[in-house]
Amino acid sequence: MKFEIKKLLNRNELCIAFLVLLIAVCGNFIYTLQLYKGFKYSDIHSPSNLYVLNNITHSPTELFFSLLLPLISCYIGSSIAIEEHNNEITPCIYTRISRKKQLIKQGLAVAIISCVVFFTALLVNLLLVNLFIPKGGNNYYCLPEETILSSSNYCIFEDILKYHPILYMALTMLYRGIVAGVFAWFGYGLSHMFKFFKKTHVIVAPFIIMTAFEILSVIIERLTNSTNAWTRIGLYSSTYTFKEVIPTLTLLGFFIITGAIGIYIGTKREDIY
Amino acid sequence: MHKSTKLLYGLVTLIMIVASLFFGITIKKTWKNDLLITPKDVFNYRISYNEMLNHELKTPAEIRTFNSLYSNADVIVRINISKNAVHNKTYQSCYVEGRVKEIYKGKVTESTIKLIESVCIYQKKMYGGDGALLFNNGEDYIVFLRKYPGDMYGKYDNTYVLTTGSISKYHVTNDTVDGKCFLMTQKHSENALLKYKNLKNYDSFTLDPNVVEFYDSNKKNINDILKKV
Repeated sequence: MKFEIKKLLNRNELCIAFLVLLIAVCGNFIYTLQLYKGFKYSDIHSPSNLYVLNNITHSPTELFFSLLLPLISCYIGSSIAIEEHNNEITPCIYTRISRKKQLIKQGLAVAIISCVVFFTALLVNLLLVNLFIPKGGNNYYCLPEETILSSSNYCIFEDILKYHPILYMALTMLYRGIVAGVFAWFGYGLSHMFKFFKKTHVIVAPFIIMTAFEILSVIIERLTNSTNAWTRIGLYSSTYTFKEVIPTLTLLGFFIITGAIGIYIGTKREDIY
Repeated sequence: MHKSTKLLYGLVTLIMIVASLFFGITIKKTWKNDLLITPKDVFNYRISYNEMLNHELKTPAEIRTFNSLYSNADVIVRINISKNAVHNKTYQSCYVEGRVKEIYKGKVTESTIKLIESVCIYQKKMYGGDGALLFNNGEDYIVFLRKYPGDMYGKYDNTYVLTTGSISKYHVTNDTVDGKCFLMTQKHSENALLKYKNLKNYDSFTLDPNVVEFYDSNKKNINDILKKV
């Protein structure tokens, strides 16, 4: 596993993806701050409302952590197996280690690295917003008054959001990192699933599948006028309610299982040697 | 990866971080801190009655006897607000620090506590939650409090909230309770006809004449407690 992680860390793709994400989070911070130039503290929203995943100013850079997330997470390393196969390194690796072990280790390494890259970029944003944005300004949860005594069931972990907002932000970032890891695993699985898949296919396929799924859920919701959580599954919320948890975990589970099936198919393929 | 490529990536990262920090410092300098106020700053603000919604606390209408006022409080203390106290404004209310002089009920381990004043200040208007007014600087009060459970950013560890806006705060002069509750008319409240300076000598205000009567009747009971101590 260490060796696989080292290989991924030396990839140009990883550095480029990290830079893109870093530019996105710093851009988000700068874009948000310039909106508040010359404001009074009481008019400035709290750090938890202005960090990139929950930015109420609807900064366009948020797209890098939602719509474009599958694309970037798969770009980091999901196509590594195809590249190694094209460079004819694969047979050399399989003489030293069993194919099954190698594919699982590589898949896990790809997922972990994607998760870490996203989490690190988001952490930079977390530090920036908490360093500069006042915590007691226009901050609904910073109200020392009676209404805070009652619970509204606004989202799961509401108490953490109210009383430990930095921890809450860190948790949502970790979750987004995990989603990126799941997509990377899914993309890696797809790279073994189909013989005709090239690097571009691996990068684009999870993005297309996720986008198609979201379009489908919007169509179903419109057609049925349903408010059921199962017709509105999204992976990019930062305030899940209790009823949205099971559908969301099911979707994540689907991507994990499909990735695992892809890897299993990869272990059985004869054309790789 | 080539060494020069690594250097390039490192340089871009550094530039982005430095640019963000520089931008943050520059913009931060343009912000004005309006979260610290003194009662004098808001003397000319107009004031209205604001009914608290969706909270677990009792309203003055629910507390009809002194015993129920007493039992609904976690803590009853005499506090002193210093002459130079600064009131901290938050999203929907304010808080101020007070020095605990005597404890009549409950336990308070700290010598100074934060007191939530359920007064919302917004665009030069004040909204007294259930008739609450700001504490006046340099004065003593007997207050009926509940421990505040919130601790966002670790700011409210040692914080208490009045059990009600209008009947939980009693001004004390020379060991005698002499607080007053102002009776505001509906018209005054709806049109915000009164300024805060008109009410500065009162502990609280209400739209219900029964609350004023109840407030005045409590003063005798509190004076009895003071005498016992």
